[in-house]
Amino acid sequence: MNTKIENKLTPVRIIAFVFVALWLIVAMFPFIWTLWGSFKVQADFFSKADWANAIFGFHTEKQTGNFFYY
Amino acid sequence: MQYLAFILKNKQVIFFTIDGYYGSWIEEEFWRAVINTSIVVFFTVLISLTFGTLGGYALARSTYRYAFWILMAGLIFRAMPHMTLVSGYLQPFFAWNIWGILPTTIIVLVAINQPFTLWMLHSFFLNIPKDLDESAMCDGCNRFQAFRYVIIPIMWPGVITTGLFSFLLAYNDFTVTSMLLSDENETMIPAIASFLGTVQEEGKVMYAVAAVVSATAPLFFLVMFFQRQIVSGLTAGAVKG
Repeated sequence: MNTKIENKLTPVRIIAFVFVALWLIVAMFPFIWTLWGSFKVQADFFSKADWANAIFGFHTEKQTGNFFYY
Repeated sequence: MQYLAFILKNKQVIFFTIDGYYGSWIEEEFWRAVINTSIVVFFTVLISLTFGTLGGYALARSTYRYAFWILMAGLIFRAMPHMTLVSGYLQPFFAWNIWGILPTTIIVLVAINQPFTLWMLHSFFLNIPKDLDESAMCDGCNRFQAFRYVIIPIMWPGVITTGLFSFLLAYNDFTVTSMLLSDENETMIPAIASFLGTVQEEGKVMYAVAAVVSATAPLFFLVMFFQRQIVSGLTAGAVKG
């Protein structure tokens, strides 16, 4: 069991948490981007006009067939 | 194909489609590559671990000097680029008509992987005191029974760690599988590469992206499932008191 001193949020611990969080984001980003982009069409995933297309799927709506809402 | 639309609170709509997955798995029959990969990986790990545990144990307990030189030869073999080995294998495999089939690739992957498993398991066996073997043999076990009933049960973290690394080598291999397997027997990684196309032929990039996600997802679950054994296996012998 941790003591109160061990659980105390010191500057070093905050820096460590921030560093680990940043590192996780950098490490996980390619896979998350690929996972998200795999549900889009090529025009969105490799969109040069607007990178946001890869997130929202502007061309995915146009290129795929029938439509249903969730 | 249909698409799925999620409407956010600010009226922004996000569209999703499974065209990539449908195209790769159904139209391009990526599931065949998954089955081929499963066969190759299963037998590579099984054979590597069987020979690796027996060989590693023998080398760890051997008092002869040639044990050291066998390990050195294994290390040199392991350090060689895979391409140099594969190019040497190609001509005899064509001559014997065994090119393009899964068993040939499994044998080559085991050959490439074996020095690594031998080294890793050898170092694990060195951490297990010889007294345990001797005690078991005093109690009536022969050498193999001592290995099977006394040593292996306490070696599980090491065996699982080595097995996982063997798995990753076979699962992620591109050089050997792309050179030694025919189109109908290709595994996942060469299949993904073929989706990307060539300079002359336009690829189906979104099929490749969907296949990449499909190939990566099992690795996450595998590492999460075996994380305790991996960590204990990797740190075994790190601290000596």
